[in-house]
Amino acid sequence: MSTVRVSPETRLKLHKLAGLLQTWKGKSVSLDEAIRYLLSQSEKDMKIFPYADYRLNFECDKKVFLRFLQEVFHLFNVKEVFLSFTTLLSPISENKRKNVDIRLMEILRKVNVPFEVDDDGLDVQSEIKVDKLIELLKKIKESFDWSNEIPPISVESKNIKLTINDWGCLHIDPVKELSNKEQKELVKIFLEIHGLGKNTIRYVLDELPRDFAIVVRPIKDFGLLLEVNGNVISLEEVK
Amino acid sequence: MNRDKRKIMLKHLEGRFEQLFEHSLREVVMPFDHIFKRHLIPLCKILKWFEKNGTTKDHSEIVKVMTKICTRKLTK
Repeated sequence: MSTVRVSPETRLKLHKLAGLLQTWKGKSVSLDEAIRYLLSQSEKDMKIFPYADYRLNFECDKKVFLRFLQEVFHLFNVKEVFLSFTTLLSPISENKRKNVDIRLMEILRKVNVPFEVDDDGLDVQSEIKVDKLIELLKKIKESFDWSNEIPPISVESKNIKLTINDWGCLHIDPVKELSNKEQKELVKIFLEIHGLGKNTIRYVLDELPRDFAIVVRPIKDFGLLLEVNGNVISLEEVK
Repeated sequence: MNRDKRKIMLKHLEGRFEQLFEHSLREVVMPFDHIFKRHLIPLCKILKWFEKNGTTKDHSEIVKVMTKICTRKLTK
């Protein structure tokens, strides 16, 4: 038996892996050891995994980032925000930035978001409905190499401030400290959006420490390996 | 340079410096150039902007803002 929560399908795969490892090592290998082997292989990959911590830093899978943002706005009942960014802070040279400004202006005009341009770059300081913001972010994502061309973006409402450091990388700064329940709601959204099952989520939330750091590691052929504060909680196939 | 723009730039500086702290505390792998590209370069650009456009009062504000964040983050 494994001490980690695994589904019957995953258990079968783990037994096969443990068998292989047993042949290779010449001694018996437990299911926990097989999971530790998968974890060590995943750590070698040095990939960027979905992450969430109690300071409300989130690293989302790039494909689900917009959905996560939408859910966060929904949770805090945010309908309108103050959007603020300047391309002066884009990590590119001035010449390249001017080209970015021109392309960005087109998009902003299309979605009807006011902006100002001067020698230092393009500035946006504008109240904007959440739907429009999502549309704008989607269009920017489609048209630019985000990490290399788009500056960090700040989005504020009366309840929360969001900092989009990079595509997928979000920090949430609530005006007043979140209650335990609200914090768990955020974690629930994060886990749901990354494909964790209901039972696992319920288990994680029941046992969630105050100072948590969660990592979701996709493991090839096995599914999602969930870690809370360095402890493996579950390994389950993606539904 | 108008006062509003300087205030906005100061707010950007505050945000970037604060995020630099947040990222330095993470225990997981980040893209290798994330801190450089998304935090340090923007911070440097803001400081350069203030060197060119800021007043003596702005410079003293920068020190105040950064010190406030240092104190808050290091005493947490």
